[in-house]
Amino acid sequence: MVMELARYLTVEAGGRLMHVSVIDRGFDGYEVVYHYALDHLEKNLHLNIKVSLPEHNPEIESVAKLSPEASWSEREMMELTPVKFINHPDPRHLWLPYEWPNPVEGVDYEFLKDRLDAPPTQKSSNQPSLMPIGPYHPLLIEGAYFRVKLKDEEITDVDVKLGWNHRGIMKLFESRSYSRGVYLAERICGICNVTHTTAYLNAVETLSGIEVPDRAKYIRTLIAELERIHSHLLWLGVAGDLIGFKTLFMLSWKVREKVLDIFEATTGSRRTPAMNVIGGVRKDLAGETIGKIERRLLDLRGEIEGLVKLGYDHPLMRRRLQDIGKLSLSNAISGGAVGPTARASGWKLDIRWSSPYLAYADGYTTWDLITEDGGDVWARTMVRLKEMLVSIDIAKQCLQALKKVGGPIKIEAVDPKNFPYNEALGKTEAPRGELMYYIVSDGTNIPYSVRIRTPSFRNNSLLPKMLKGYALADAPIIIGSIDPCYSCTDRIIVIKDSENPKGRGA
Amino acid sequence: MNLIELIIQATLLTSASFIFGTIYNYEIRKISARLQSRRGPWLLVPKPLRKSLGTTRILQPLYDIIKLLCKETIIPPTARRRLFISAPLFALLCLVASSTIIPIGEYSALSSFDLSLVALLYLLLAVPFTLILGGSVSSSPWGIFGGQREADLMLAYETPIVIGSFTTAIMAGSMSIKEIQVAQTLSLPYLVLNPFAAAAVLLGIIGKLHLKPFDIPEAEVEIVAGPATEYSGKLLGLMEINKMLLTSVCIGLFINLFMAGGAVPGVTLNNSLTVLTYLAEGLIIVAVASLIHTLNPRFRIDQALDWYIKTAALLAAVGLCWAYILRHIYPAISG
Repeated sequence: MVMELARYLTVEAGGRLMHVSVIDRGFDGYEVVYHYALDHLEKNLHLNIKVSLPEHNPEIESVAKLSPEASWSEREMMELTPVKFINHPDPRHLWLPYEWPNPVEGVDYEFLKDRLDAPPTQKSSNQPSLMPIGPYHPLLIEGAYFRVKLKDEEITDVDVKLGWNHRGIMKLFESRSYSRGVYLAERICGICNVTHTTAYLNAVETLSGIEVPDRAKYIRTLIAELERIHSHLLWLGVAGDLIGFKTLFMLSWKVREKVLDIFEATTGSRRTPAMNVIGGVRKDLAGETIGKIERRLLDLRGEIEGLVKLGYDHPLMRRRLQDIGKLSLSNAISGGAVGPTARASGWKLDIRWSSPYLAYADGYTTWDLITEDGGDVWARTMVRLKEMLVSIDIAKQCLQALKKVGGPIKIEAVDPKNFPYNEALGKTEAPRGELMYYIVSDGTNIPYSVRIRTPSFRNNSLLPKMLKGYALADAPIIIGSIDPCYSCTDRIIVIKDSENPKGRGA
Repeated sequence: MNLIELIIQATLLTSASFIFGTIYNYEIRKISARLQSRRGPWLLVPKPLRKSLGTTRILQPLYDIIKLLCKETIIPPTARRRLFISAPLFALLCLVASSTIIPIGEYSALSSFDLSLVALLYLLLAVPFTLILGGSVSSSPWGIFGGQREADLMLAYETPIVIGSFTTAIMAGSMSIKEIQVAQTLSLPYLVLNPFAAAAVLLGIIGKLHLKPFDIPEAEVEIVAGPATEYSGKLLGLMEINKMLLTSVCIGLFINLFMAGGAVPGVTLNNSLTVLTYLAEGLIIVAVASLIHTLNPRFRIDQALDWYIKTAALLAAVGLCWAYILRHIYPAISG
């Protein structure tokens, strides 16, 4: 039954499978929820398919063969819950080491026996050599491991291993009240913390039926868009470093300082603003602050236009970025690419546009959706660069609106005692793509279950497709081009220290 | 010149070469820092800090080397120990020998012998080979990849250097560096007479010094540190010393072949003043090189080879033809 529905939704209706969540219902068994989104076809259209499984021996047919994007979601859920997705094409551990504590049955672990080329062997040059990129490598300061197979300098095979910094955040949500959960969500990622709280609050406010006042909506949007600018500038710098362009790195981080200054002027904090609270925002913007921000945004616009021009005019930069890491539109759709990665492949997929939240809807602000057709690293760069200009537009409109729209910035949250039994899906367009929170409440003041699908989780699973066939020298920028964020991707598990039982893992 | 005098002068030349290399590397660091809105090592330390830092940090590259020399050296047990240790030592030997061949102003220990240009080019050719060797025997995949890339790149950047250098030999009618330098003082510096060959040699030197866009063998985000990945402590310090010497020798070669070695045509300078003009010319060339270094991303290896063949080697070939034309059609200009 599920398979038929899944086939209909993916193949015929053209839906996207956002995530597969498993909710542990205790004695009532397990609940598998397939989150389908059809919002790219019709605005705001979502479909959750729920399947109840027995408490003992819960098994269900995997949909990963139908829609490859489900593969990682199902692997994640198999790791976190006892639910088995049978006939999964790749049932290896996702977070745990491949063979620990037990190897998954029916998986061929021969590939682990391939040794790294140290000490140098007398292998003939026809055999591919194995290169470790990560978990400690200058390419990424975060922990990710790419087992790259090379033939000369060409990449023939890639295997991504996650779980080097697993933090157990989804579990931690289940022991914190809704209002404290905001600050936990903020700490999932240092770069895009506003979008995490926004998505979390979208879900919580839908759960409890709160409508945020307009002024708060504009302030939230302003902060979210500033965050997008800062995140893209940060990415541009890192991308510059990945192609050996240290000057671009310094230049774009210098511009980014201005965004951080705006953050400081508006929220009092440079990077973790803690602006969003349930029912609105923490702090109002004074009239003179708005004028100041507007002037700074004008300045910023000029600088970013300069960066776009640099990208187009610099002969070497374009040569390094063009025609590498190609992701075709069909691959992007079947693999479930999100965010700038999807838009660079020509897919008009932006959550701000397809499921408008905050002040992105018609009647609040008007803005353009940026897409590129190339599908290569250059296209992803250009999407991000142009998106920053759009973000400045949105921020300006928000500032204009803030001059007119008065009213409260916050409404009182629901009394925790009266919190309803409910479930809700909160989505935002994070700088890296679609971010999804699925929250189930049980009438108390703490959530019953929280499931998070981050954009990097999805884009990372597409990396092997992008890397194959390109040179090792291009691997850093291809990996960098999806703007991978491993603090988002790796979230779960609490590590217990046997000698210090109270100590909690990072 | 008796033997003792020769040894003293060779030692002085090597030390001067090392100090010049330090200053050149300081300049690369400073210029790229200022262009990137960073401060870089201080030229003049602010007064309150002078007690602890000294008046100037112009010798910062030297302090880095001293720090490395004080550190523990770790040799991977899987590396081929003898070759691993001997690679940077051999490079040092070659570089010390080549710095005695490069004349600094009037001070020249060995440069006046015939065929000194050929000897120097051979010695400089040996340096990349030691990098390839050191990387390959280090048992690190990154070292092996770095060595492989160095081998590819070497073929590309040596071509313009060799062709460009021999072009000057044709113009001067001699294979001795000293004589080529003297020949320029009689006519004009070859930078003016044959800018094509000069550009080709400079581009080759940028590749040889692993400045951007040609720092491919040690691209840190791709292959960690390339051949130097497994080197640490004193051996890494040795590699850094080699880098200083290599910078100074390469720049010195350019000054002697194309800028009359510090001498200004038509003006008689005393010995110490020539050393100063030599250094000043070196600083100008390094400034140009560090501008290129700062304003460019890194080439991919195939793009670099392509570019060297299509641009630098072509320039060198044009320079060669130009030299031929000058010598045989307008012999009056070339002197």
